[in-house]
Amino acid sequence: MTSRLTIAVCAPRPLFTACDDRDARALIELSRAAGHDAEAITLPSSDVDGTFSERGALRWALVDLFAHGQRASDVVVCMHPDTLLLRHPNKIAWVRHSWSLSITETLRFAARVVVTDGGSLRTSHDDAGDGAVVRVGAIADVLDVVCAGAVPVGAMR
Amino acid sequence: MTGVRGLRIAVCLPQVPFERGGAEVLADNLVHELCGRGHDAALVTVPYRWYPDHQLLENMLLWRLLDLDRGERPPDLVIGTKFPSYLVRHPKKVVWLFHQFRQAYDMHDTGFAQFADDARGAAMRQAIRRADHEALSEAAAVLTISANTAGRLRAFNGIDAEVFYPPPQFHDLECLGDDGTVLSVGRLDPAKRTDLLIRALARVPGGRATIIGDGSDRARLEQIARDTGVADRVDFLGRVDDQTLREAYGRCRCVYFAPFDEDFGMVTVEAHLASKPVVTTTDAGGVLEFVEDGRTGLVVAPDVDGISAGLALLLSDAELAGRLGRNGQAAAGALGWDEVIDRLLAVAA
Repeated sequence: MTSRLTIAVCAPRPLFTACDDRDARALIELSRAAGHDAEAITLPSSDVDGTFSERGALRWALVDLFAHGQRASDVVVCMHPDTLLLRHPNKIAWVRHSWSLSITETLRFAARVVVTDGGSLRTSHDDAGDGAVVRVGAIADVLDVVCAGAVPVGAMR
Repeated sequence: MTGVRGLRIAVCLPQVPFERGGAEVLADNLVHELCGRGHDAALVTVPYRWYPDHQLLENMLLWRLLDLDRGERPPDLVIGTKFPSYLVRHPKKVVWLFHQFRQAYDMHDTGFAQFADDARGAAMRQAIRRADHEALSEAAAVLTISANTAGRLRAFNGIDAEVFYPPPQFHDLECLGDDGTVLSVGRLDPAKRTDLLIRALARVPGGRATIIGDGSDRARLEQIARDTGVADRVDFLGRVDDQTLREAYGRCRCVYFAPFDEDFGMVTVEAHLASKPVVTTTDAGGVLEFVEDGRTGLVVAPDVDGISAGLALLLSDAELAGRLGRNGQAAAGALGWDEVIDRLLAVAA
């Protein structure tokens, strides 16, 4: 049984579009149903796709979800390449679309990578055989990956 | 202006992860009201931490770096609310100021200060003041949620603002009875001074209190309740659902709400909507714009002596409490959204 975790689900958020991120909401609801605290963390973005954007990443680099104080996040789920640059020691990349980064590039920022149906990373000659990448079919499996090996922040300091 | 529809409006609010308070409720309600009037409104949030100091500066920069005027469907209007969201740039920006970062202003010389009295602390305060002045001067209009907030803005930044009180979240609050207890609602934070309520209750024989809300101060407050021998007379309910909150307001004898120099204080309005008097203190700030001593509540000295005397009076006199509570109901019930939304949208015209 995993202890109660504080899970931040991070994604850019387009404005005034019908793009309601059902996957993020589903993960948050599943997390809460399992007894964890989960919340969406967003930054506004004028356009969102799977492409890494320097401008977007710069903004995420200014976000620190591990600063000392109350309610720091135990684990962070990154739902877009730009979000990988936010500051936290336990980031999980959740790949649901076609990302412009390779596995190696993604693992430079994230501790683990979970890929669900429809998700893919750019292929690269040094990507093969990396055990940190997990392929699953359902969002409930994503939560299992999030909880596996997650360490409450108090223990990381 | 009420006839204008179809504007794209971004309501900006800093997001403190895993925390929710009055500002979040107010911003959500503003978005809801704008959408209900035929506009396409969206809440724009940015995760926010104000410590350590460098994180505060980075957050200010982050709002400055947002490009809300780009993309295929940029907003027609941007509404800034609390620090540092109003630092966002946009050609059509209006600010409905919930509050500034008061540790750089009036709170610096109090027990709630954040910055040290050294060169670094002075530089931080100056950076915030400069950023505030620049960003607020960019706005086509600056509105505030209380005369108290407007007064600080004028005193520290030399900026005049119009006052528009936030309408309450629940217009359907009502008196459901009188169970003879004191109610406290709000985030458990030292600045809310819930500790004074507990200590005061120890001097009111038989007095009971219900405390709704959660926060960093909870463990300390529960310890104070044990230390002062009132743990069996104080119920800490934590966060509750809306229905439980409505019933708590409706059934209590009176509401205690005595934060230090509060910006506005929605709890006051909610108490009055439920026809309950408020016990507050002479230094409670915006709360005093609604609580009139002896008419809609009691305004007492901000210490255990003053608060225990006020509580003892209302807990021993149900008729007085009922009369004061009913007096506050009319003003609270008159607060609505039309006026403030018309003023906010006038900027987009």
